[in-house]
Parts: sequence; structure tokens; C-alpha cells
Amino acid sequence: MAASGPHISISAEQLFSVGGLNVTNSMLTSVIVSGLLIAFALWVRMSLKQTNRPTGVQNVAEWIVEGLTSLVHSVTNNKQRTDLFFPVIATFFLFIIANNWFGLLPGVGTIMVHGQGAAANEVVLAPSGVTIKHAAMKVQAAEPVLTTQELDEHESVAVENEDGAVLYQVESETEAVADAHVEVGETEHAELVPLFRAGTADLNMTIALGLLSVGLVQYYGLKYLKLGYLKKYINFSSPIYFAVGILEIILEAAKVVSFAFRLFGNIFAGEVLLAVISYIAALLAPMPFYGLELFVGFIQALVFSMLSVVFFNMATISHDEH
Amino acid sequence: MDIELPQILFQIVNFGVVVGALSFLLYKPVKKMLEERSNRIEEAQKAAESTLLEKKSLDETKKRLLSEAEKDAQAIVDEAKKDAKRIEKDIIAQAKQVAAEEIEKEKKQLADEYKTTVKQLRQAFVTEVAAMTEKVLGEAVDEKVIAKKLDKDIDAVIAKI
Repeated sequence: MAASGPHISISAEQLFSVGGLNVTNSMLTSVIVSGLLIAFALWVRMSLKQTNRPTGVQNVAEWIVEGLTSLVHSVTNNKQRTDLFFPVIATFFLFIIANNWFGLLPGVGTIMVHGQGAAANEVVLAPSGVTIKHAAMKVQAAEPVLTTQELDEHESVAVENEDGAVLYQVESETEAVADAHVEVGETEHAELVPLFRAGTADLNMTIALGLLSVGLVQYYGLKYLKLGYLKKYINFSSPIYFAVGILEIILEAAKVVSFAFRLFGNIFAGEVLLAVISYIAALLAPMPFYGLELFVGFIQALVFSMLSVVFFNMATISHDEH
Repeated sequence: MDIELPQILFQIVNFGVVVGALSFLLYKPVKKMLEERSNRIEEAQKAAESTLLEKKSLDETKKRLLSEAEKDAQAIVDEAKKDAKRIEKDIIAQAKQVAAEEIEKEKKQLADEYKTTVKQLRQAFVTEVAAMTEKVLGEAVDEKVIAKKLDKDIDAVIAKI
């Protein structure tokens, strides 16, 4: 419990399981972000009015839709393709940017819960990387032992239940930066994990988005060029074309990896940077980096969307048109 | 780094749901609204252009009508001036005629009065001469005879006057 550094985990942490699905903190966040996006869309839908001077949320929605439409159209230069690609590209952009920016909200990465196997009511509110100097501990053991104890520096205390079994060990640290409130609800100790984690800071999410993008590239290719699209991958007209086809297949797989690791790498690196800076100097030092991460979040969403629309568009143009 | 297929599938489904919901609730209605507005603005621009053309045509018509009206007005004014001059001449001619008639009438009346006065004076003179002759002669004198004798002298005196 008494962590001595910032909480950094390269993979998303499991919160609980539903059926066979391990629900991680990034999945929870991405579901919340999806809900917020849908709620925003619903709000826009209910606020839409036929007017030549839109205001409020309608103005914002029109600005977003027009901006993204012109972004897609700048690549396709074709209204039919713009209309076809727009919903997916716009959702890529909004979904990624919302997930990126959600990760910068206070509480994301700092509200800690026990992972799977822990009692659901165990919650610690403390910044990431906090160490406990004076821990006021309320220990609710299997049954009635209730203890509150304050720790001095370099002191360690073991919390036991009425049978004398050690429930929890709390150590005081000299470089402590904050107090924390610890409630232990069950005898079994479990690892504390953040309740929320930016969806895009989870490789599973970025792989999913990469697979979707590359999968849609194949779909649009087949839709526009029919089976002729497959000549790109399987071409027996000459040994060189055949080799090129294999390279194209490798390239498509590399696109998924590229999409996934670029987005994951940038966002996760940003989270690590913020966690480390917050750990070193919690007050004002992180502020410029938050600004930087807002920019990075926007740029990454834009890069993902632009690359996707470029790949979509390229897939719909035959080699003859090239 | 744990790469788990169920989590990837979950995220794909999650993204699919978001795409569907946003398409239905956000993109389609907003795009439809933007297109309708664009059409409305285009129609309004066309209507404005047509109105401008109409206005231009009306301006030209107005200019032409004004020019014609000015010409008509000038013609009417010229005609009126001519009429006025003609009427003026008529009135002056009538006035002159009336004046001449009046003068003639007055002259005639004066001549009549003159004749009457001369006649009365002549009679009075004859009567006086007759009375004086009667006194000188001591006998009755015929006034007609005296009048006959004096007529030439009286006429000579009147002519001298």
C-alpha cells in the first residue's frame, strides 16, 4: 500500500470480471467516454432547430461536423466518398480525442480501488505516487475490530483482526507528500489500482481501433474495386507482383501495429510524464505538460483520422487511376 | 502488456455502437440541417439575384417612363403656352372691340346731346330774337320766318366754335 513512487502500469489493470470478460479500468473509461459522446449527440439531436443563426450546442455540433466533413473532403475530393467515410472518420476523431482528454481529468489515474478479488468498498483517495505519512486507519476486519492509529515517521504497523492475523501492513515514509484515508473491508489484501485510465492508454483499445481502420480499408477496397482489389495482394501475373502482394499483406499488418503503438505510445508516455512530474512537484510544474498533453491528444486523434481517411481513399482508387 | 482478444472485441463493439449512435443522432441530422440551410441560402441568393435583375429592369422602365413623362409634360406646357397666347390675343381683341364699341357709343351719345343742345340753343336764340324783334317793330313776328333767316348765321357761329 505504501507506494514510494508514482503509480505506473504499462497495461490496463483489471477491475472485475463479467462472465469471461476481464473488465479493465481503460474499458470502464472508454465505456464512460462512449456514453458521454452519445449523451452529447442526444443533446444535440434534441436541441436542433431550423435556423440560419445556430447558437449553443447546435453551433458547436455544426462546427464539429462541418470541420470534420471538410477534413475528409480535403482528402477524397469526392462527395460520395466523403459521405461514405465521414461517420467512421468523425467517430475515430471524436472517440480518440475524448478518450485522450478524459485521461487528463482530475481523478483519472488517482482514484484507487482494489482490483479483482478485493472488497468493492475499499477506496483510497490520494494522488498517484503518494506515500502515507500519517495514516488514519479504520480497519473493519471480518468482524468487529475497529482501529484508528496515527503513524510517526519510520514507523510501521501491522493491522490485525481479532484472531491475530495480519490484515494489512502500513509503513510510514519520510518523503511522504500527503495523508491518505485507508479503509480495509476484508481480510484479504488486494493490489490498489486506478479506477480510471485513459482508454487510448490501453494497447487493446488502440489495437482494436487499428484493426477497425485496416479492416475498413479492405471493406471499402472491395466495395469500390470488387474482387479486383485483391489483385493488390494476390497477383500471379509475374513473380515480382507476387512478391509485392506479400509485402502488401505485411504492410497491412504493419499498419495495425503502427496505428496501435503510435496512439498507445503517445498517450501512455503522456500519462507517465504527467505522473512523474506530479510526483516531483505536484503544484504548478505539471501545468505546462497538461497543455502539451491536450495538444498531443488532439494531434494523435487528427493523425489517426487523417491516416485512416487517406488509407480508405487509396483503397478505393484502382492502380489505373493512380 | 496483456493483449486480450475479448477486450479487443469489446472495444470494436463499443466503437461500433458509438459510430451507429453518433451517425443516427449527430451526423445525419446535423448534415441534413446544414444541407437544408445551404439549399435555403442558395435559393435565397438566386431569388436575390432575380430580384436585382427585376429591380434593374424596373429602374430602366422607370427611367424610360420618366423621360417620356417629361417629354409629354413639356409638350403639354408648350401647348398650354400656345393656348395661353392665343387666348390672350383673343381677350385683347375682344377688349379692344368692346372698347371701340363703347367709344363709338359714347361718341354717338355725345353727338346726340350736342345736336339736342344746339337745337335747344337755336330755339332759345330764335325765341329771344323774335321777342326782341316784336318789341322793336311792335308787331307779331313769325318765329319760323326768323328761324329760317337766322339758320345760316347760327350755323356759321357753330362752325366757328
